Amino acid sequence: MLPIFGIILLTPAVANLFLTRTSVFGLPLDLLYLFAVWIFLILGAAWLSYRLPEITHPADKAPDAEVDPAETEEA
Amino acid sequence: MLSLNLVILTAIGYIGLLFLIAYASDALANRANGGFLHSPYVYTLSIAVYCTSWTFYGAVGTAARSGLEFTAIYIGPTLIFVGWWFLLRKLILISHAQRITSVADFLSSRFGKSSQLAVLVTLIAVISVTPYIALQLKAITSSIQAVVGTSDNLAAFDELTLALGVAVCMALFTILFGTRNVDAREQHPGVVAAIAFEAAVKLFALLAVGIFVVYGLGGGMSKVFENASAAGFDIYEQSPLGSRWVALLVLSASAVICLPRQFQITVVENSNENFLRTAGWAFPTYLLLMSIFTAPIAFYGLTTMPAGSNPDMYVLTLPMEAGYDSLALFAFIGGFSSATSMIIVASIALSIMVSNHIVLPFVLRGSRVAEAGSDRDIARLILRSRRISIAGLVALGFIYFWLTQGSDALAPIGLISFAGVAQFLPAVLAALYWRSANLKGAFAGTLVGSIVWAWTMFLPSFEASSSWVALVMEQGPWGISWLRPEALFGMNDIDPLVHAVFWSLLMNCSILALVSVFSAQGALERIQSTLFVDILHRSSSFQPHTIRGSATTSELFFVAERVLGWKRANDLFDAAGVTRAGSAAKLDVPPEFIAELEKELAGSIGSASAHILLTSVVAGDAISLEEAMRIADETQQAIEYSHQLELTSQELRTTAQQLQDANAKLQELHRQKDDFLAHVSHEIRTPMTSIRSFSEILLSEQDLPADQANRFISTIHNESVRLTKLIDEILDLSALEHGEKEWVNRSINGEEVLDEAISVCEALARKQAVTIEIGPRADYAPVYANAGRLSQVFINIIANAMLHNEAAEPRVHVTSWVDNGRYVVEISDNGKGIPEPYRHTIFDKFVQAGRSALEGGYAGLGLGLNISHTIVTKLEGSLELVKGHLPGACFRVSLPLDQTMAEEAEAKAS
Repeated sequence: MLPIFGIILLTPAVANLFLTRTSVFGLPLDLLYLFAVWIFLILGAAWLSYRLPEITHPADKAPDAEVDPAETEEA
Repeated sequence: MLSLNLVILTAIGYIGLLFLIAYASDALANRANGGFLHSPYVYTLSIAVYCTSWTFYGAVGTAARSGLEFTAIYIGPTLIFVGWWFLLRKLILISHAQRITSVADFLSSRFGKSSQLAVLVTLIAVISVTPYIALQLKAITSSIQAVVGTSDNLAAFDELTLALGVAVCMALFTILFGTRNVDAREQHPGVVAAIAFEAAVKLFALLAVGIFVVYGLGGGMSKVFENASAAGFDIYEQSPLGSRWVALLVLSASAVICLPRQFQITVVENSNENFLRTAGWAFPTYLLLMSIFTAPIAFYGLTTMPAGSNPDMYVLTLPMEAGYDSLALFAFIGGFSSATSMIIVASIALSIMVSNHIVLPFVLRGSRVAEAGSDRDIARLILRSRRISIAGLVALGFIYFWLTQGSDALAPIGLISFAGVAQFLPAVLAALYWRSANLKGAFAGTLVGSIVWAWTMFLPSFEASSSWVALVMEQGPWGISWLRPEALFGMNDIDPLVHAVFWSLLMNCSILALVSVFSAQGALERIQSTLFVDILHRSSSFQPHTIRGSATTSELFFVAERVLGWKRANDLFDAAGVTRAGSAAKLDVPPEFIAELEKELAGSIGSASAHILLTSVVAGDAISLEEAMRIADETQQAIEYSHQLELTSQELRTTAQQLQDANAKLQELHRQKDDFLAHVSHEIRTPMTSIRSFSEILLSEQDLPADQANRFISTIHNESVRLTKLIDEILDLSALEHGEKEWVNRSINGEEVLDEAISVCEALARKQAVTIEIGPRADYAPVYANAGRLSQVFINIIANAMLHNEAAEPRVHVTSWVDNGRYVVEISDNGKGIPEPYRHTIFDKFVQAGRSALEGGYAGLGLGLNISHTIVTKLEGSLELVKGHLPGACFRVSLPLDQTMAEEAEAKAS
């Protein structure tokens, strides 16, 4: 779900909402927005990396490994 | 200003340091399990080879020229890595399972181990990456020029010479470290360690410059933007993000998978799938850190540097302007390391592809390697071809650099590469997720996509240096305007990058999909596609044997030794328990081992080459996969056919059994007929004999007393009556058995028939002094029957009961009732009953229970009960011997009621 969130947040349609020519703490809002989304993605991935099941070789992989509880929660 | 000598010495010293690191790491990796080298952080840092000098220098340039666009190049990979669970995980699992060595190997392996596809992908990769290598050379030379400035020393070295020198150094380093041996899985721990080190160096260099510029010179982030704004620069994004932004995201996302060097580092050099867990967030973090100071540096540079200075070099020129030469030197090292790491990994990855997919198949097809006497050593051949191809690749990069000297900015060159390798993306995604994607589709899609890319993007990059290209761009080839490279099909008011990406990927995807849908997969393709798409569900026990047939151990060892070297081949054979000594050398090896060996070889020379190589060895008695599948089909058919035969023979057996039964029955009937005839003859003969003898006496003795003569005549009469009766009964029986014409059933009241029968018998009862007792009776019993026949049955049974009753006070008891839709009549007597031995045969012909000579008047023939039984059976009823009301025999007649009549009667009654 995380990359899909990222893609949605970064589509021109959404990202262009922040091209307001205003500054926050002296920095352009558009630049801040992009970095904020970026940091959000990284934090999400870091959080998920502890939640997702261990990758094992397919032989002994549980069949439900595809279903990712963490991600459904997030969505 | 720094002196050229110092810069060059630093660079050479740095390369020497890399040598040391690579050498030490190799030694470390060989000795133990790899120690710290085997860590997810080293893996993550090595993935950062994505950040080349384009990032290091070019991003600032892009930020200065076109604003936020620079972030797209990093956000694309971020999206891919953040979503590692979906794509990268599967990619790595497949590649580990299949011993994939490169992106070309991946695609060829998925699409039926096709060498054509591998060649195509390799060629496209070489063409695409050439500009990228040129970009690194350009970055290094420009950075040297920027650091050294226009001092006198530089006069001796023009740009080209510098680039050539750099290229030669790079090629040497790569050859020395990238091609030392042909490894099992093409992993190069030494190189990876050096790359990770370089990644750390470039990160620190860029952060140092960023912190220095922003906080040392600029006075903080907001101050930098304030000043830029005050100096008249627009710190906000000028135009809204649009199609170019999306195109950049797509390109960078696909590049981080499809670039040969990224595939090499991320997939091939990966030693543990779970490293992705860390890389999933750590690599995006790295990218974020690399770009966090990009925008401030760009704006500070724009604000303070004189107009016309190259923004790509702000990272170097800003510290130098401020007089911090050592920081500039550190920055130079950072840029240098980002460029060298890219060149090293890219040329290793490409050389593996070239040697495995172009050189080796060519050599293997050209000559039968397995032939005795051929002393060509494959391993040495591979190494040599890799070294040559590394040199060739760097040379190509140099030539491209030479040809396109006109273009200033770094970013456009990098984007050409990105768009080129992005042509693999549709095929890679189809390989991972679309089971019915096939070789023809992948080949056609990739080919057309890259032709469009070459036309719309690669060709225009020569515009500045070739007047012919410029002409084509202006007017289209042969004046066909709708074929102009940057305005295909008249689409001319759009950014050239978006234009090229749109057309090439559109064509690529649609042709891949269409051709795949409308053409069939080969047998091997089908197997491979299942292996790839279902990697997450497959059980390890399923091991396809891609090569069937047999080869002797010595032949296989011969091949394995050449590719893997004696030691590894020996280990491999020992581990599999395949002995090669003495007579065993001539023995066949199991096909499982051949499959295992093919995988092992694929790890060194690519799956397509390994397949060709082993097939050539096993060729003598090997059968192709198609053939094997055809044989399997035939076997299947044979099995089905034999199954049908079995069914047929089963039927025949059943029929034979039935025939046997029928035959036995016929014989039984035949015996019964004989018995019957014997009985009849006997029965006829007895009265006939007495008639004949009495009549002879009467004829010969004329003077017999009258009373005697009368007695004789009455005997003759009685016997004749008996004969007539016998013959009547036989005729009756025959008529019953063969169907009677005048047998008509109608609805009658059973009770009336019974009453009639009793009244008929009363005369006989009086004569025999038998009492007929009438028990409880059903009042009305509608049955569908022939009244005469039914009456015959009742009379026969009652008469039997009276005639064979030897009791002192003979009695016959008659009772009837309606029960459960049946009309039941029981006739019992108080005689001695039917003796046990006759109970089962009492209804057969000529069976007479306890026949005694004393029975006066009437002697039964043994046909009556048989006739009654036949009649009752014909009326769909039953005649049984049961335990009855009186101690003697009891016969029960049971007939089905006539339902319609019964209902009418009920209706009347109510």
